[in-house]
Amino acid sequence: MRAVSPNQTLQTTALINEAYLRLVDADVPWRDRAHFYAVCAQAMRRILVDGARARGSVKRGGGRVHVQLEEWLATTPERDRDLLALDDALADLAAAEPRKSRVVELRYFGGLSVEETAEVLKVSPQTVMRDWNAAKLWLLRALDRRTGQEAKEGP
Amino acid sequence: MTPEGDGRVESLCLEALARRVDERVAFLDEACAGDPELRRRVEVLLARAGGFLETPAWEAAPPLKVGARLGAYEIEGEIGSGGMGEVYRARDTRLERTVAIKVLPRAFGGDPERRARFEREAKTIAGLNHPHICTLHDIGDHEGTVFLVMELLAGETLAEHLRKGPLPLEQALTVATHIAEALAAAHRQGIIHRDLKPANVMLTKAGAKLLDFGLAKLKRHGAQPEGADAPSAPTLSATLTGERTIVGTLQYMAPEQLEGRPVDARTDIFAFGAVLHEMLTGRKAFDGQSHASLMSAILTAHPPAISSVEPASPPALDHVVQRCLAKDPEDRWQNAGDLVIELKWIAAAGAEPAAAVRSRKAARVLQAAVAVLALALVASLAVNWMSRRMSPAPPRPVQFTVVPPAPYVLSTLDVPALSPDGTKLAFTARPPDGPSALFERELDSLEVREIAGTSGASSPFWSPDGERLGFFSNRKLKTVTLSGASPATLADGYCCGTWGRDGVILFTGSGPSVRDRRTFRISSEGGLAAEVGHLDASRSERLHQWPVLLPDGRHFLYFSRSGRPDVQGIYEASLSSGETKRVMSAASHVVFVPPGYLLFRLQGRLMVQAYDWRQSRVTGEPIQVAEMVAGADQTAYNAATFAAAPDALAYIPGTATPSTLTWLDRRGTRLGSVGDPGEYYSPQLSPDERTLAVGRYDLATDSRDIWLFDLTRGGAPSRFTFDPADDMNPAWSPDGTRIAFTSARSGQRDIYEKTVGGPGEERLLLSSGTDKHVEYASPDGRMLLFNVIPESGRQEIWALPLVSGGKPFALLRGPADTQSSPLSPDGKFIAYHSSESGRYEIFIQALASGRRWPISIGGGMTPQWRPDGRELFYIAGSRLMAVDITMAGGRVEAGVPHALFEAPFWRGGRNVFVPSRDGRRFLAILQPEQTASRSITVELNWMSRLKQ
Repeated sequence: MRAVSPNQTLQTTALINEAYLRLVDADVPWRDRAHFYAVCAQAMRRILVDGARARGSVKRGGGRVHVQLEEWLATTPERDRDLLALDDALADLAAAEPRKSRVVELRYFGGLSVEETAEVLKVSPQTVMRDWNAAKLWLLRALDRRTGQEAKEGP
Repeated sequence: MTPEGDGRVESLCLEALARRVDERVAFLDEACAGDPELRRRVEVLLARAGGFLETPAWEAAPPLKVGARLGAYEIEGEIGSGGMGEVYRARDTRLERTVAIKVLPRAFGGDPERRARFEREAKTIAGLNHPHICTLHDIGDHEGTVFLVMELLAGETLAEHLRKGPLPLEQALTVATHIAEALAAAHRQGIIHRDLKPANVMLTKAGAKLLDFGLAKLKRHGAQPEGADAPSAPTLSATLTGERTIVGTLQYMAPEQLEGRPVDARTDIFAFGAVLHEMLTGRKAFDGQSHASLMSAILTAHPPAISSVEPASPPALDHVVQRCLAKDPEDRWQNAGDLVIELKWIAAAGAEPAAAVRSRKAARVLQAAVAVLALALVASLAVNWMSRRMSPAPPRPVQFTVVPPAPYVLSTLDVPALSPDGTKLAFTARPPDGPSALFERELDSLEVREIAGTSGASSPFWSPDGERLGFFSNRKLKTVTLSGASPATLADGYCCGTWGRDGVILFTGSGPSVRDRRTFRISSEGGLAAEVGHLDASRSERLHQWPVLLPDGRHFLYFSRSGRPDVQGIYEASLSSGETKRVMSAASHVVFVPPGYLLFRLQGRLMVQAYDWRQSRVTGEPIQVAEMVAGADQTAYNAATFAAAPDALAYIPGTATPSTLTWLDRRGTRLGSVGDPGEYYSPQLSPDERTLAVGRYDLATDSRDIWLFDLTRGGAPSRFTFDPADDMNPAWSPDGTRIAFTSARSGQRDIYEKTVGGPGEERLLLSSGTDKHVEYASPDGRMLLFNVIPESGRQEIWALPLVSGGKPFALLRGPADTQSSPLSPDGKFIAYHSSESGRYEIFIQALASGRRWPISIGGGMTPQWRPDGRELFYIAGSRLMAVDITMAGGRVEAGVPHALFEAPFWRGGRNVFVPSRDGRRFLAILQPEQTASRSITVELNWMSRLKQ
């Protein structure tokens, strides 16, 4: 089974369905659909996070990671920081509640629907929704702690 | 707040999220009773959590930076951030010119249907080419980012300018005239701006220019029904910070927009009035502290007269503005062109009040003259904002073809319609894996336009003035204007409408029983449907269909299907007396062309015959007009695919080169064919794979029958069913001794069974008032699956237990049509396709638990199991897809679908291919190589043939 490298054309600007269809047409010998989706989501996450990290390290003269993102897409330093913080928080969540972390990875980085995520993780859609909501709250709390702020008060 | 408090807030938030949105308020009321601080904290967290991570990571589009390239365009800088996305200044590197580029929201990249629709709109807007409309040069697509390339304008927006105060009268009139001219040009092409406001008007050296034409339509997201013009609802509901955002969008909206009613060109005129008021007075026409008070002002308040705020302004302008701002669209200027004339008069007459009075009077006279002229030209048009040319096209040579735009393909089972004046053609077409839509083409232009809001449409028919279309969708009778505006659902209906001069519509009704297919009448404005005439069971009348109103509006023709050949045929009836008279025998419907001709299909040929409707009799002999016209599905539709009007004829030619039954291997290599070319449907292999049962349509008898091919010996097929009515959808019993099938022999489609071999005994398995179509037998032979369309209008799968006294029961009921449903070899799962997502997709469902798994991605139809159950095959577009399936413990694990090969599969019927037992070969119904998609042949001047 071919491993997915960043050089596989998983274009970040294309919706994952389009990328998927291209792979399907190229007769990639995926046999396990769940594995395929999980790998795609992980690859997306890695590409985006590596890109954010590389942009942050350029200033410090760090070695440049070959970033597959279209070079002309500029992100703001704030967005990069947010993404890296989310990635860290997600890693922490994986240690405590691995399935919740996978739900976030599949949905946020993989763009999967609730039903598709349920299929991949082999649980019911209701379980996915519960995990999703709980994970969101967990991550919000973790991110708030990180930035040392309380939840913003309303207007 | 304490950690314990935090935890409580979180757990309440979690519980609230687990509830439906409409239940959350009640839940919070109870859980936070007496603790408003707690409630507030929960709500704040809810608001944050609600949107958090909901947009996938890569979709939150970061802006473009200088030097970025979008195809041939290089970004030079940012101009501003409009409501629709970022706007940049860019250089076209090919043409060496500077342009403005607007990047559209990400959602556009993904949905091909929305994209296609948007591109069609953009093409029309680009064609506007008007000095006061910002030119749209191009639409681009770079790696999924859709962007518009527009003329780069130097200047400021009217909104910015108005911040400094009102405009001087002369300038206001000039700008207003420019805007009105732009609106007039756009409205003539059927485009409404919908979002006219000072921020969308640029003041340049060359005058005012209108921006963002028609784009406001794109602000709708998913849930909005097509054709409905709701006010920018997403902006309203996605409440961001503060009231200002919401109020800003509403300010120039017309009352009908606020109320969610259909909009048309007069909506733009209302907005224009508000803009003109503001230009002259420096104040907004309608204002409010909150959006509620603003809406109330728009709906009920009247802005002060201009001359009361600016005494120097001519009284004539008061009238203009007031008429623009009339609450009822009927009371406004009906036509931007009239506005232009009026404004120019006022400007020419100078700014003095005395002169203004003179000019106002003169303007009124001119207005009246224009109105009279308009009336003379435009006769009975109700709404004249779409002023198209009404004179018929100059005589032209003979024939041409009309095809729907790719990827749409003509619906093979539907009938096109010509407008009464013979200048426009309406027809339905569908994309490979989706529902049909209505298209329109003016015969003297090359453009085929899709009509918005007509998903699932069939059986279109024109209003007498040719401005509206009636059609049927999801078993409902609907009407719509050609631009997709004013959609209305009138009643339940099956098909076949006719629209009379006094707003009367006759149509064939729908209901659970085929006996509900008789003629009803309803007003085109809506109301109750009333029955017209009734079926005479004593004469074996099964249904009435295809009513056609005659010129006096009081008589009409219709087709009656009956078991008795001397009864079946065309009748003329009186709406008032209910009397009917048989006109002639017929196998399918007629079309009436004034002054007195009937067109009908006879043995595949299109014939015309003179008809004296006052005397209800045909005269002379039928004359052939065209050869080989296709027949639409016989019993359900009783129609042939043609339309006629004075001097225009449209028909779908019959299949001259029909399909073939071809064996293919997994790589798509053709291995050989079975039998001769013909029109085949719904094949199924016997369990031992030695015999093929397949439906076949015979043009000579205009009916379908089931034939059997002996695959081991080859040779000619043998006929299996002999009844003159349609027999179709063969389903083998698992022991290969019997075939169940659908037959229309008693009028409605019932289920029969016949033994194979020997004399063949036939017996009726299930008869009922509703049409039923056989699907497949269960692997253990104990049940037969079939589909029906019940009152809900959505097709369902039912099961008939094959034991004596077995009562059928519903097996699968989905939110959309569910069809094509073979059971897995172990009988525990069922595969099917459903159009609930808007496109046909494949699902597998466990019968015991009802749990289901989506299988296809990007569309799929007509699934078939490999007999050992380890693979599922289906069609996606023109590809044969295969999916590995593992079933264990009541669960399905599906692999990733992959395409095996591409082939020109036939479309239609329960299934178009069958796999061999080992899954290594497929027998498929293929279109012949050279067949392009079907087309409509249009003939002009056909009536000259009658003068012989």
